[in-house]
Amino acid sequence: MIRPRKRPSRDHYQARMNNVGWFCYLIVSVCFASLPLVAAQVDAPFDKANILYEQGDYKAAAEAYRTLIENGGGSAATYFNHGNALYQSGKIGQALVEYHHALAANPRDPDILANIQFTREKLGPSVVMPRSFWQQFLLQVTLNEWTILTIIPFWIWLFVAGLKAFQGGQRPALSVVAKLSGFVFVGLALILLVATNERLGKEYAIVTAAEAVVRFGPFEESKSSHNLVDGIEVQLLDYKNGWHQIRDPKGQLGWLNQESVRQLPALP
Amino acid sequence: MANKHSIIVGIRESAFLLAGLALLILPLFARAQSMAYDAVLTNNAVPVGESTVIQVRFQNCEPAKLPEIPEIDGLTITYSGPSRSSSYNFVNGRQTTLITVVHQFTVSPQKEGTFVIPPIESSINGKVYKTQALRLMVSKGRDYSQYAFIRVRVAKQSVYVGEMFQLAVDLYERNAKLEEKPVIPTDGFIIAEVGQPNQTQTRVGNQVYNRVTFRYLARAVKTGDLAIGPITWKVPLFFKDNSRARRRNSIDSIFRNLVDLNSTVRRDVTLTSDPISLDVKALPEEGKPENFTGAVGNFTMSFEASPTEVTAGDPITLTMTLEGRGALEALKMPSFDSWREFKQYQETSSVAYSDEIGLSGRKTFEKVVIPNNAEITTLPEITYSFFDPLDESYKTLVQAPIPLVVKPNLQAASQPTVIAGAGGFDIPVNIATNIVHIKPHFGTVATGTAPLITQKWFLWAQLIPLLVWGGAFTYRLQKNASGKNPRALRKKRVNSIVNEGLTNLRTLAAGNQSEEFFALLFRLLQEQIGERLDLPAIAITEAIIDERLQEQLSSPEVLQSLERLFHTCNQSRYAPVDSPEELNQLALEAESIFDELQQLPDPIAK
Repeated sequence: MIRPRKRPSRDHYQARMNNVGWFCYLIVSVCFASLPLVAAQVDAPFDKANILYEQGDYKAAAEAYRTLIENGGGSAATYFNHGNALYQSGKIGQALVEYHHALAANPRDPDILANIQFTREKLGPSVVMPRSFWQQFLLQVTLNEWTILTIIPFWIWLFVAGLKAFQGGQRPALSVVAKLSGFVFVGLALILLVATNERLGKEYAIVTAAEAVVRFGPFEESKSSHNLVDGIEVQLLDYKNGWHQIRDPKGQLGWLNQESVRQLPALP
Repeated sequence: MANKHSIIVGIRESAFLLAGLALLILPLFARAQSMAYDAVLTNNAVPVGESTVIQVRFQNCEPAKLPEIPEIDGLTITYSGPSRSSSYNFVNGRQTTLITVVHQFTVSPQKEGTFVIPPIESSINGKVYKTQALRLMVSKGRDYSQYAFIRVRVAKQSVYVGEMFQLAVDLYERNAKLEEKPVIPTDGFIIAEVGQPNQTQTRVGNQVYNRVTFRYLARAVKTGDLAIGPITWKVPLFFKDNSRARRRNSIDSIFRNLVDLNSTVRRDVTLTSDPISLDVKALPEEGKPENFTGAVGNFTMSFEASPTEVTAGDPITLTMTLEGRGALEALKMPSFDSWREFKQYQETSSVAYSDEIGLSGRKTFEKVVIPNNAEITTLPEITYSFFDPLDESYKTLVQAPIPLVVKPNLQAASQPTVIAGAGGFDIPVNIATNIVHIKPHFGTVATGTAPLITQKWFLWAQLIPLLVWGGAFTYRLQKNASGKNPRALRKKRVNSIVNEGLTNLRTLAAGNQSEEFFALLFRLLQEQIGERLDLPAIAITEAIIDERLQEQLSSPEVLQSLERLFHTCNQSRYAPVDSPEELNQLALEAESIFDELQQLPDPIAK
């Protein structure tokens, strides 16, 4: 005999909702309770490394920051402080790489930008790959910012065009807005195209050896072309068997052993 | 007309939209295309003494290792390095990428004859490919030494490692054009060009030559018997083109000399010098001071500190100047490890040369130190050691301790870190003298997420407005299409009338309103059949039904029912039906007939 299903009572719903509420509360509580735990896991070694730095033991501080980063504690501050410790240890190229990692994590931090600029000025002229006015302009805004700037008129354009189609083109104001946002989108999409190529289509690195020998070919047997000193930025063109083909700021081409350079993260 | 215009506008907007989308996703479609591998000779006929180049070209592929060319008797083949180029094309709306890597080998023949360079093998993606064989014709060479040659001059035959010495490369030429600089192998040396090349005329034997001199400063970084060179210099030489002159007849002989000025032939010649051996001695271990940092030369030192009366925590600028002859760029400031009571900042330095070749001058270091406490009374002694290659001995310069007055900092203010500025401190205000200090707060862990433009979810999300626009546009097209089709409009209107009428029929049947019931039923039948046959409703009669609907209806029963309904409607004028049950039965029958009629193919009018 099949018993008719009993319709759940209002109290039953209330009880179920209470259970769901308690479950959500539990999840949220666990998440928030674990935040200080996570913070404590990284704050202690971070402070310890900072103390080593303040004591002037820059090599030990650099090692402590490096360990922290390797263990997943790579914040903009950790990269920045690691860069400072390396700088104070005389490892200018390594410091610049860490500053760039910090910049990738926090693209608008004035301290990071100031240290990059200061370190480059200290190295002298012709240490950075030359960039045109337009390249510098494109780098002022991050790629995500360019993307959002492009997508906003794209969405406006399509929604307004859709509204216009839905209404049968009765409102001239919609046409004006659709055309304007369409043109703005096309312009920004072109800029986004160039900006994307500028960031994702090009690879840069920094010389980290005290004096790196640039060779004509990707072999130890290849003749040496010229030398590059620690901290010079180069563009990576090719890679073969542990050798990077590079272009230096003076436009000279050659091959550098991969041990002599460290690749920079993609520009934010 | 308005509808046509809106469709054109819609198509135009679609094209505009697709162009925009193409721009948005263009960066995602740059991928390599088909590969090619071959080898060419830039010049396949050269005289002895001149050289040509084998270009081994890889398009959209790369060899696992550098291609090897077997040794060929009579040819010297040396690897000259790679070059890389890339180009982007659009073919049929798709972007194609062409990346070409060229490995160049310079071929210098030593004897005349015809040489065959065998196919060059390269392993690409695990598969071995071969080029075609190359043929090189070598004719009898010329002796160009009477037209151009190079000489290398070195100031010393024996130097210490790190010692600066001058090097000059002279080109003697009679008919050359200077396009390239000499190539000097740098193994074991750091060599830098100094000044501008100068040009003079000089006599060698009975011949007058133009002499172009490039000057260099060099220092050895390895010890032992090292060789500078062979230095090579690629020089184009220009000769009168006698073959052209012979072709002319006597008529234009008057102008021959004038024309001959421009009738020259170019020969690219690579001049080579003999290597110059140099004995590079290691610096002696005996007497080497502890604080020696590798400076080689002869220097004097001056040292200044300012201010010398400070409060604990205030900065003091140390200025140390080394003046003399040597590798000034390579000089380093002495170690300040013993200055434990001072907070120290990284020094800055500048070099000013006193001669045009950069061998003499002065290097100035500036370093900021901060006394930590008021017990400090002097700046510690500074010593600087260097090796003098002329005396062949180490020398140490000493700066005696400088008295210092440090007042206690009663306010225990924090130490300045970055910006200089207090009175008496001679670094300009607001100019950073050191890096920004470390950050005290950890912040948040960098997630390192890829840019939005490369994330799939983000690209898919861009379909949302596209779908919204597409939906609205489709809606507009459909609306425009139905608005200009009178048959579709009539069908819609009749369906509406029939649906409403069938409801009314049931009401009238229930109310036993026979007259109104049949009047409405007759009108509904006329409207529905008229719409189906594309005839005016008023023209629908029993005769029309017999004539036009007989073939279309699925069964004769339906046709009979339809005729009976028509007949009953006509009869009701004279013999009205008074039973509600009968009216209801007729209403049900009418409903099934309307269903049949509405399912007929559209249109059925002939």
